[in-house]
Amino acid sequence: MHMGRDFDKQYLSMNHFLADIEGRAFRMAQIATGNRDDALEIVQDAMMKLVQKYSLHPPTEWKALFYSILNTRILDWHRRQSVRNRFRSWLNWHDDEEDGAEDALAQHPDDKNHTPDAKLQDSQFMASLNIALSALPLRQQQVFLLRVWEGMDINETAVIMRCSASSVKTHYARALEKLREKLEDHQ
Amino acid sequence: MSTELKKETTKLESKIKASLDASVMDLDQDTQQALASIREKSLKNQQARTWLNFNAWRPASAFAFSALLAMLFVYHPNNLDDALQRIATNKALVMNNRSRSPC
Repeated sequence: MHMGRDFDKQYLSMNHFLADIEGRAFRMAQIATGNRDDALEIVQDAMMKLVQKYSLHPPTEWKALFYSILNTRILDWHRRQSVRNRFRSWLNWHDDEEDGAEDALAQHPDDKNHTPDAKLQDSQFMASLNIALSALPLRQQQVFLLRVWEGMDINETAVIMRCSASSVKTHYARALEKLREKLEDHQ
Repeated sequence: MSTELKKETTKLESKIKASLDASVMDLDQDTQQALASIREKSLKNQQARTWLNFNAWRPASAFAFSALLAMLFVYHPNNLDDALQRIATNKALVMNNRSRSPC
């Protein structure tokens, strides 16, 4: 049946799209939140919303829409956290700071195909990169990851971030400068 | 930006991209499974929505609309008006006859 075929096609292309993007989306959320469970929750919200609201849009638009939702969810998470932190400091309630943030070294991927030296170097670079990226202000971090990792151009990034192209350029330049400083030893 | 700095920047960007790609490839089993189950859950949602979606019902709606048009064509409104007019005339005649007939 025609309707069934259309649905199967749409289902398969959405499945393919999500399977392709989920790992990167998770890592972006993890870098932004420093927490695995929160990152998974954010990715789940973004996927659900994309499917519910935009699955009938052309597949070429999905990527921009998905990252727009993901970034909004990350921003919301940061707002909630800052309110929570303000409340905690107001109550003078000191939690163990390491509670939420996972150790960057612990999140670090194992590399199976390299020599021990190369493996160690990659491992150290990844750990430093995680720390450096997490330390960036959120907007800089998001712009940098969209531009470098997702290969989006300035205009696409500006649409996703809902800001001007010149803001994207500024955020990107600042992020790159900070990363260069922090990763200097590994270059 | 000097050529040397540009080269260095590109090298750093490539290194960062490669490192991030590797971190996705090496996600632990639990996380990969969690992501797959999230995806499945989202797609189930899509399945439910597609049946409610108007576009999916387009062929059926088109068929129903054609059937309605055919019905209207067969039972033309003019024919219906004629029938009603005939009934009204008959009623008027009956009333007239009744009023003329002696009690």
